[in-house]
Amino acid sequence: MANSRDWVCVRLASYEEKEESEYLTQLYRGRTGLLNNTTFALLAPDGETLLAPSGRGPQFVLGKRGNPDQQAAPEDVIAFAEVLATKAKDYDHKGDLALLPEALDVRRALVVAACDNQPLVVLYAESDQARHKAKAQLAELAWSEKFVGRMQYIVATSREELGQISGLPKGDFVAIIEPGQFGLEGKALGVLGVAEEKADVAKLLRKGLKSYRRKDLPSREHRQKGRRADATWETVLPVTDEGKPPQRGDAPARD
Amino acid sequence: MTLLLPLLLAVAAQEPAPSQATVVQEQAAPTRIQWFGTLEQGLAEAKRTNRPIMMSAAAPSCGGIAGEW
Repeated sequence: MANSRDWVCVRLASYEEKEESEYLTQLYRGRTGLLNNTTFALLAPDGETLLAPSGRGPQFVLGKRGNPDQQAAPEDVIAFAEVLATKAKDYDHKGDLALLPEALDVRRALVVAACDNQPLVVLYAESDQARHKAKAQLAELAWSEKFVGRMQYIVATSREELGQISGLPKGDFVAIIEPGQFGLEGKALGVLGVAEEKADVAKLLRKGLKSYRRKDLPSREHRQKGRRADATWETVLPVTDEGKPPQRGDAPARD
Repeated sequence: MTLLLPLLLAVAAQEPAPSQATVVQEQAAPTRIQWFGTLEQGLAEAKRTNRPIMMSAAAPSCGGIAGEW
């Protein structure tokens, strides 16, 4: 069975960063010739060589061109997992995944946490030394069995970035945050100083996971509530995809 | 994007290939894939560890409303 840790899994927020958008457009572009709302590709470690056809979603790997918003068939799930397992065997890993997996910044981290319905861990430290030490500790925890895939992470670069999060202390800290329904603000569920031991940080993360309240609104209700609350997302770059399912005449998947 | 999750969750599952029932069940569970959120980090880690890359991108909004893939 495929193991996601045989792969480096990268998920970018479309229309947020120029270089990333240009890169994604090289991987796949739709009928407009511009960046799609969604992009999916399997790549060699060089980040350039495609290992399977790229497209709007994982179904393109299987040579299917359906609407990525449709339910995946169980046989496709199995076939996709097999593709991943087979392709991963071509690469001998050198060491474990170890970098702290971060979002672009606090704003993007909050909204991604809301999208994934997960807590966000925020680290802030004035001094480089304290920040590096706390970040390394957090990275170890992020890849540990107990926490892997359960939270988002961000190291804040300034206090100004933190204005949308309530309950944060004045000094340096590691905090676990519950994003609001739309990821435009958040509140601290727990806070620690950055000099604490790893075991104490782990305790903080466990506490945060336990007290986190999942938000499971159906998609339609989420959008209705969002429109009433004016919870719109403003992309940094222009959106170049109308969000329609792929149609005949779309650019073919890149092999 | 939400319904792409079953395919992606299959990657994270440490179990035998999922049946329809487990696919539905997993949709309600937290995703266990740990994503890198920047291209720079992802490429660096792939090169350092010689791992292939599963690259995904989506806007963190649906119908212009924030907080949903």
